[in-house]
Amino acid sequence: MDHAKSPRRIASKTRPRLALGGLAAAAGMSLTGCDVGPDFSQAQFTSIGECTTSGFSREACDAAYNAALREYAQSAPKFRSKEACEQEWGTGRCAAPLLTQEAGGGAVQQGGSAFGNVFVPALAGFALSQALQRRDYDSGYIGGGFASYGGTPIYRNRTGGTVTVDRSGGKAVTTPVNVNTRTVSSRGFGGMGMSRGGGFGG
Amino acid sequence: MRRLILPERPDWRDKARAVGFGFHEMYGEPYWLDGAAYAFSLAEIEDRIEAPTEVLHELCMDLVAEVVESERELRRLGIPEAHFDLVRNSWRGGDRHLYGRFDLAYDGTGPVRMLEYNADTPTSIFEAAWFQHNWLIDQTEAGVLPDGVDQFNSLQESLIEAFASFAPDRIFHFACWVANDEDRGTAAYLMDCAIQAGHRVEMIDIRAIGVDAQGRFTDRHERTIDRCFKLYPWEDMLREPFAAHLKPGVFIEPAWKSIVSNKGILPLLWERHPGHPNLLPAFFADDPRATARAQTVSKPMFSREGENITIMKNGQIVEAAEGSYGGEQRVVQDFAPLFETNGLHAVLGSWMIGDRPAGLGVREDAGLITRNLSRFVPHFIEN
Repeated sequence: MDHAKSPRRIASKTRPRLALGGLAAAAGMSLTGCDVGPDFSQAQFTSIGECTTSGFSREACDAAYNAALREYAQSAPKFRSKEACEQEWGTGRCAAPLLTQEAGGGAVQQGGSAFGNVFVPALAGFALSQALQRRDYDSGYIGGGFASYGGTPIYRNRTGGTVTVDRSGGKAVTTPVNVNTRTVSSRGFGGMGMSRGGGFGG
Repeated sequence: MRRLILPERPDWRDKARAVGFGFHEMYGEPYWLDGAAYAFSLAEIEDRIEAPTEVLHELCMDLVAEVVESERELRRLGIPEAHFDLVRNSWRGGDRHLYGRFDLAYDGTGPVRMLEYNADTPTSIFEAAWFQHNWLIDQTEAGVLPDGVDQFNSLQESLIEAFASFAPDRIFHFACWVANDEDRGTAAYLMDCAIQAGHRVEMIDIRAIGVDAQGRFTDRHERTIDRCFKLYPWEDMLREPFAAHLKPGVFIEPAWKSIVSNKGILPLLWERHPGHPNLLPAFFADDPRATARAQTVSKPMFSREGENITIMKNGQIVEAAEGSYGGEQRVVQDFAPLFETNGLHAVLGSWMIGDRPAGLGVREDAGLITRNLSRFVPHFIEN
């Protein structure tokens, strides 16, 4: 190249600018980056399979299901007869629970002993709480530590809709919930990065 | 090329903090060095760095064109067979790329030698493009550097121009490992350049990318991701659960960069251009010729930040870096001496923006392996 003829200037003599003033502003987020993670919205499922295909870990789905089972054993609406239960919940939706199986094998409740001589609406599904979703997201593929989360059983009402049951002044109040509405699955990328501790530039 | 000690800018730390350059210190060590510089002549920059950088980039592009047509070579590079078509089609369809950084060995006299091409997830672009440029202007205004000194740095203009070549017709997402300061800072800087090029942007954690019922990638507001810069390695993306949903035309860098950023291209380039002045002899580790060399560097195909690199002299380990990239196919490259001043070894980071060489960043390390503890030292071009 001929340097004598046309002295070349490469760098601009004016300062480069930043449209947003700085890197933190540009990211539009807190320093920890919490705000750019996924939106932990409602997640209710009728099976563990539905839960895992929605992108949650098997551990988190099992934990949510088991927690729902425990909660179900404690707080399922109880009726003295099958007829009374079916009148409320619909024909064929009630039973004297015999055996409920924890995901992963262990039987936690022998129906007769846990419920006494009662009839309860069948467990139709479970919710994955937002706290559990966040725990699952933060733990990535390493997993674990889900045991302490509370559960939410889901029931099917007379018309086939899915509901949760809360107690209000000694009375059971049902709230409709959607199941398997979470069409967006996430965490399909990042697992290999997690295994190396994060940070990939070079 | 020479290394100088200069007065540092008294307020450079405040300036760094003010723009969110929090990683000017990393792992408790200074990362940006304000009170030193490397000086080059213009001829040295043009003839020994800029021109060879363009030549090397062209060799790599020619290699991609050849490799995508050869299942044998794709296999040698460890591209998963299920994604040959993705890589192929991203190249054949002309998926645009944004940037890459050659790491070059230069001892101040001979030709530069390509150590590797960080063509997929390069960092240190903010330091090179923005902070270094401000350093030059500050030091010139302060009289520390004489008027008229220049810098091999048209990086920011070139980045904005490159972003402007993408139509601003959809949200430009920026995915990275958000919890990592350096990665987030890099993505945020590039995002700022994209804004200056007229794009609507959104940052997303790589793990927060979702897929909808139609198999389209979605963000946390359940909007589809149609164009996404990602600071996350292709070799990982191709092996993770969502790989099944990958299509050409969405991600930047594009899938064909999985060929370029792969250290397996070093032996492939040497096979095709033996004796090229800007290449070092390189072989796959299972090639008998790999063990016959006097002094070599052995690298995993996919390591980042110098991890798991071993320097060998006559069969003995001279220096080795720990890391998390073990157990892969390795390549062996001849050792090339780096520019050295008082035990500090400098590697030239020569940037490509699109298909044009656009700037330089120098990193130095006390060891022979430039790692994530290396320091970024600004440079200037002497009159």
